Amino acid sequence: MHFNHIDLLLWAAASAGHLALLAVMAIRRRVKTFPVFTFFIAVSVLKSSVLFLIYLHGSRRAYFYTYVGFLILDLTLQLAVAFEMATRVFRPVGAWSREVARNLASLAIASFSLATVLSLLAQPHTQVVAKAAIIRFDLFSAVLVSMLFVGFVAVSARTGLPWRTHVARISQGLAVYAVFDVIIESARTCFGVSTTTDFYRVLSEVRIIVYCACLTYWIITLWQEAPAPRLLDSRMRWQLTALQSRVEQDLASLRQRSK
Amino acid sequence: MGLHLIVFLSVIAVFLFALTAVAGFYWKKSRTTSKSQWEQLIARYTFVDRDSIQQIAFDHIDGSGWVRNDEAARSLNSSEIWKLIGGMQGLDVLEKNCAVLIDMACYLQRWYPEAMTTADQLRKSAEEIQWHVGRLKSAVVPGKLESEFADYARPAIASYYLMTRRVLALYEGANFPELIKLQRTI
Repeated sequence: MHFNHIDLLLWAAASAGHLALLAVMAIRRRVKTFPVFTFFIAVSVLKSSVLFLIYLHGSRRAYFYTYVGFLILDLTLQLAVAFEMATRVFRPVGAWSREVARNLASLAIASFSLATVLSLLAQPHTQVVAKAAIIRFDLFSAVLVSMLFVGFVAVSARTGLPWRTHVARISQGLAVYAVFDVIIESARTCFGVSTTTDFYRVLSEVRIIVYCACLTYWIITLWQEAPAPRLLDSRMRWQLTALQSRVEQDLASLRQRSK
Repeated sequence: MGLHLIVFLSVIAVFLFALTAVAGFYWKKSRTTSKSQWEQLIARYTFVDRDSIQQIAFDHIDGSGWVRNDEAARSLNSSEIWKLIGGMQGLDVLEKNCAVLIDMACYLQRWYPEAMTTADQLRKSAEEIQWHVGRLKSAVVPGKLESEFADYARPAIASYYLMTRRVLALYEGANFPELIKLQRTI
């Protein structure tokens, strides 16, 4: 195994992108707002560095197990980022609305089911069981994450909950990358990883280019400040509070009568 | 290319098309003009006889929203309330309109993100109110109105009436351009 110039260039671009994004998160004080996303990016830096070193100096076996370990960690963190974004959009006051929770639970079940079906339907073009399992897992991961983020857009539109600027930008980046990943993993399923190595390499390069584009998008949008929110004037704030207390009062009365 | 591969690629193509279509549809929906969203909100609101609602509400509360304790209070009986509200269908309408009223309050969060916290609390409270109204409906046996119905329905209808007033006051405060239409509707 060896790197060509394009591989090295893409590896350097992705690593620089990750570091630049981490710097933006720190300088613009976004770490506290998006701790899981920051951790996801930090782990990505670690992943690319460790895999690069093992690729150059380690054995194939060590590379394989490290790669699989990071693959599982990557999916776990992507789901954690999805949860972080969902809490920012759908749980602004710290508790899930019943309707939203129901919608999100249905979305999670549907996404998991469809991802499982599609990954089982795939018959990767390779004789190596481990490679076939990796391709299936990658496809599962891409379908799951893309469906979740598109589902979030649908649920927010249905419930009328708006997206805050930075949450929307992070989610858009992850969704676009996941959709491209579905295409790439489907192509890898068709052409495998062992018989046509050049094609596999091209697909991997395309994937990194798309990812670098997402990194650039996050760097630019997270550097920019979100538009300042319009504030309610004192009369409107009072009216809204009065409506809320009226509803709470009615609710307490109904609760008492229902006992 | 084997049959299985063709099936797999077709399924992936359908999946990607559906995903893109759903994303596009809802993204466009969330970006549609506020005017059309407002029109949809108004369209969801079902007409109710405001005079009847007001009559039942003022049987239970006074003009300031306080529960009346005078002798003339709570003079309407179950049959009269049932007739004024329009029976089970009327309760259905109130349940649906309750959700629309909360959505009208939440609508403000599009321009005023500061209202988001309160709007979400309102949404959660409204869900619970709907659940209680649902219980009230299920407790009513058609054709056999118990005296308890008036005790349950009166405060629920009074609450609904006050909610309409509060929502109107909220939009008056916001100088909402469609206020006159809202006043005519609710």
